[in-house]
Amino acid sequence: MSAKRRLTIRGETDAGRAPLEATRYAMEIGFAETPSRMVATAVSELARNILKYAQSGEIELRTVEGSRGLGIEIEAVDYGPGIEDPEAAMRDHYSSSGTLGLGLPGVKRMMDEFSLESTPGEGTRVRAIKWM
Amino acid sequence: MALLTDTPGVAMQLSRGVVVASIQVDLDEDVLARFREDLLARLQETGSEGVIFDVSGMHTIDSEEFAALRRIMTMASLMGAEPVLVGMQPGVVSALIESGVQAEGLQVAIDLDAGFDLLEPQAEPEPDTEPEDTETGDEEPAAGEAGERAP
Repeated sequence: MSAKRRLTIRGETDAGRAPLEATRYAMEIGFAETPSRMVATAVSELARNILKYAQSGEIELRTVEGSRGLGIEIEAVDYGPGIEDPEAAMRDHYSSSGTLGLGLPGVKRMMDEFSLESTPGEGTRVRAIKWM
Repeated sequence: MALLTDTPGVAMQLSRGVVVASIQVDLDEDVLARFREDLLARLQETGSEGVIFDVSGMHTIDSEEFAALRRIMTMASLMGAEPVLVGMQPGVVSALIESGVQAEGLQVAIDLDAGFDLLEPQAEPEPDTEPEDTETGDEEPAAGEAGERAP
């Protein structure tokens, strides 16, 4: 089983590299091309959110095992301002920053499992799993 | 083919009267801003009526990158250049649509060649002026109204 991989997101360069790392990680575990790209695109959206709202944070990729076999868990953590209204943040085209607002709902759709915890003033943690 | 760009990671060329922009990197904000300016300047200089955005080198396109690309495509069309998106990879397409991006109203083609075909449906229009009755000038090619196109 692959070791976990931690990606520090502090700038555009990190955010640009994150999806490449995620693709590589997914393929190492044995994910096919298309689901690997989905994991990578989810990582890209999460990295973008971190930069936009919290300026910095971390994304960790892990291999997990469930009843359906192997999967990848993405955990994105930041200590930014948090999300005032997580339910609204999960609606399509909701954006508090004037952008597209497909980020989090998009991640949820691309992945099989999704959870969002956020405390205003403390930060945000997103966990998502894609099964192979 | 003349190289037309300073944007790192984006190769821009003029080919068959069409500007071809091959995007080979992730589109961060700096790259996007330079690409947009470069492209619009080239469209103005060349008066090109078509522009092909080749994204076959992009392995992921997230929703914001896609939106940014679409905005640039719209700008190109306002400059009179018909925009065509080519080279979308299967994984990129799946991820984009799954994530909820709208892709309606886009001109797309599978690859560069198909993109050119889309922009010039009858690339070599046959001169419909048949040489009347007699075969007069044997070697004279009917002075090319169609063949040659000013760059």
